[in-house]
Amino acid sequence: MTPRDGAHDASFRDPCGFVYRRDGILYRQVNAAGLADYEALMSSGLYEELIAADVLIPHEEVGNELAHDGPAARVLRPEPVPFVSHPYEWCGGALRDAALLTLAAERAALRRGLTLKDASAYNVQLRGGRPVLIDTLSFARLREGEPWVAYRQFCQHFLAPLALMVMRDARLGSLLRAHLDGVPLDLAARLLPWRSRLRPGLLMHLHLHARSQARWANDPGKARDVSRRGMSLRAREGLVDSLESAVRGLKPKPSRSAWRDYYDATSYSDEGLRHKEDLVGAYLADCAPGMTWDLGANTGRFARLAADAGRTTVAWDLDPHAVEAAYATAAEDGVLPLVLDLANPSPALGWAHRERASLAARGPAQATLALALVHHLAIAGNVPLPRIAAFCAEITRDLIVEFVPKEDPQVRRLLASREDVFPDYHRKGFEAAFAVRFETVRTDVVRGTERALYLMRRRGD
Amino acid sequence: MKKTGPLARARAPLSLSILILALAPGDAAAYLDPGSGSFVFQIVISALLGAAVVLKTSWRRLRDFFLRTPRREDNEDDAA
Repeated sequence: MTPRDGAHDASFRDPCGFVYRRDGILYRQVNAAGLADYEALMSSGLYEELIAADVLIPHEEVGNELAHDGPAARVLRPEPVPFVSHPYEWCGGALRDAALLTLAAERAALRRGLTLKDASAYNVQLRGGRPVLIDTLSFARLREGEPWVAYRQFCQHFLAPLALMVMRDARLGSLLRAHLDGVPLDLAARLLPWRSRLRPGLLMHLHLHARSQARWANDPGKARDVSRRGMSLRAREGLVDSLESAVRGLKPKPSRSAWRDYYDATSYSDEGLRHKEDLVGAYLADCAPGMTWDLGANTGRFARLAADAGRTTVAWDLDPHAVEAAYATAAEDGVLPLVLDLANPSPALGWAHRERASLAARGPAQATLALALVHHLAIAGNVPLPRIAAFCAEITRDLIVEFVPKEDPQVRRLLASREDVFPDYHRKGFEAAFAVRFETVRTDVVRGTERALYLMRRRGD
Repeated sequence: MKKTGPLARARAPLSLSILILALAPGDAAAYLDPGSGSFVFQIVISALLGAAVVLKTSWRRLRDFFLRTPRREDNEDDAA
């Protein structure tokens, strides 16, 4: 789906400006209310510094006749990001890098008399395996003595979920899906293990911060009086230092989870695996250029084939540890690894269901790899084959799909503990189900196995 | 030296910006609700945070004083 023209549905909170599309091109309008801060960013040298350090997305100023509406003071055309991901799809390492990037931007801003007026994780996107700040209008002139307006948001969007992912469970990143403005600090404090209090940064910025919120929630008048005492620039720098050392101390640990062991435990011989790689490479060469998704990508072995061929590639997997392993080499691989439960994919979220686009709304991909995946959806997830085909047709034009029959050890393992209620799960049944939505361009059996690969093209494209 | 260099260079524009800020009228920069508890908490810990910065800076100066070689000092003079 080509993104619609018009104002972006998540870009309405800040009166200083918003992003919109016009003739398919992304623009950012700076309103009169945001002009002075924007000019401070541009004239202070901060913009050049952040661009040189790859912290902020570059933009160019274009004519005001391209404005969307209202009192446009400037119109900017930011460099586009190849694929928009949401923080609840990131692994801990990506969230950590995004947090450090935000703090680096705040530190640089403070040195030039500016500050970040928000610290939303949604202001960061992953590009070329590295995070980049995309909100040019997040910078405001520093008001002397004022504490950091975005402190609470930073703790909720970055520190709390990262602490939970590293100290409790990597799957807790999904809390960001339920809490779009970040994990409430009282909730994080309750979920974190007691030993998190032994880390000074977490004790201060999560536990005591949460208590302070509870203490002052019903006493805003008195809070205002205390706030008048002000905060020095030195203390503001100290706050960034302290948050940075708290974030640096939260390093996601590699863990040998079930999926990460998949390549080792799988029934493929070395020869079979090589043959499968050759086939996938040849099939990809047969697909029109464009965005490629690898569903159930594990650590991204096959996604790398697509990236090597110069395709924008997103590797989706259910297991955050597999995604973490893929993220560690993402910059060199050119793959964007993200967490996704295909049985419950990222929905449309936020105000009026329109702030954060669903998986399907960010597609369709030109090509999708679904390797060693269908049996998990069909047998472990009880999704009938025609429904799997229908969903694939919704999200991709070309499909490279693997069918693993019941005789395969992996499927036997899935069926070992349950009744076989899948009479149609066989190669003929699979082909019939997918033939409704796709035509088969090519099919091969992987050497030394009974698994079949297919290159399919969506009907009607 | 590497770390104090950019800081020292940033001091002039910083004081200029603060001067401009002092003269500029207040505007609607902060669209976000900072949360009263989060605001107060920063004020409460600000002495601690400020002290940590002073400590860090002093430690770096001390370390640089003892570790600095004459050659690096020359470079710093060049840069200044």
